[in-house]
Amino acid sequence: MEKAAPSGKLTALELVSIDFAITALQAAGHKINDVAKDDNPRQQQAEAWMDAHHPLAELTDRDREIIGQIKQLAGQLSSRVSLKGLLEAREKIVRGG
Amino acid sequence: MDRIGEAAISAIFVVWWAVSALNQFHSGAWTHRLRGHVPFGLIPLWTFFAPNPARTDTRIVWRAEQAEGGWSGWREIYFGYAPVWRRWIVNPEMTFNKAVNDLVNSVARVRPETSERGILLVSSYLTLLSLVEAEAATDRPEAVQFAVVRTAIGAEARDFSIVFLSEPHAAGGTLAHVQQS
Repeated sequence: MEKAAPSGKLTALELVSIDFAITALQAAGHKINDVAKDDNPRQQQAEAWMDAHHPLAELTDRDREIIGQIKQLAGQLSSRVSLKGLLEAREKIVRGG
Repeated sequence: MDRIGEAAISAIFVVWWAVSALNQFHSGAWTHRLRGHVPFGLIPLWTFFAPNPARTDTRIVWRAEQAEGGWSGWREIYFGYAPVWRRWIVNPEMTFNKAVNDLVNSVARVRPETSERGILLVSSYLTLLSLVEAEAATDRPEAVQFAVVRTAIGAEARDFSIVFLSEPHAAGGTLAHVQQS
């Protein structure tokens, strides 16, 4: 059996375990936004770590300014929309189109 | 005049203290905008070691849907971690891992404010997706999907938790940098 180093690459066994966990979450009906729960202590720890170290790039300010348009346009996106499609939609919002 | 000066200085310190105290709640979310205008990091945030020291790694895993149908197994975007002996002086790996942490944190911050699918148009989500597309490009996939996994050292093996799962996205688009303005 592969021995995982603390910060080493995920082993094949761990990736299979992750696959099972994701499949189970999907089978339980979880969607894109409800997989992560705010009461997850590890997530809270990580957020504390992040804030203490001030992000290299804070990307949320501009997003917050245009959140209304994001909400409106996101509802019109097709399923399995590509990165190109997302960037074009985002460009439309940023340019005020 | 002296009394007015003393009162003004006292007021500055009281406001500074109050804002610093507010900054300790909800990871500083209440004072986020104000902090952007205060130079030299004068609004402190004391959460590094207490009460919950962070002992997790944030990892991005992805999978590809092939033209013949079916999804590949999950793979990790792995930047590596510097060995301990040089981590204190040369640590370029830290930049990539920190960037992933920042991007994931940005998604987590904006997510509650937007609609369920609104996250798709958030710049940090787009940047993560572009990372995954770049990684998957050699496979020429039909679609890609990614997940954010946090790992921690457990008693016998690494523990992990799935903290985010993306939608599947059609692949083959263009790779581009996300403009902030």
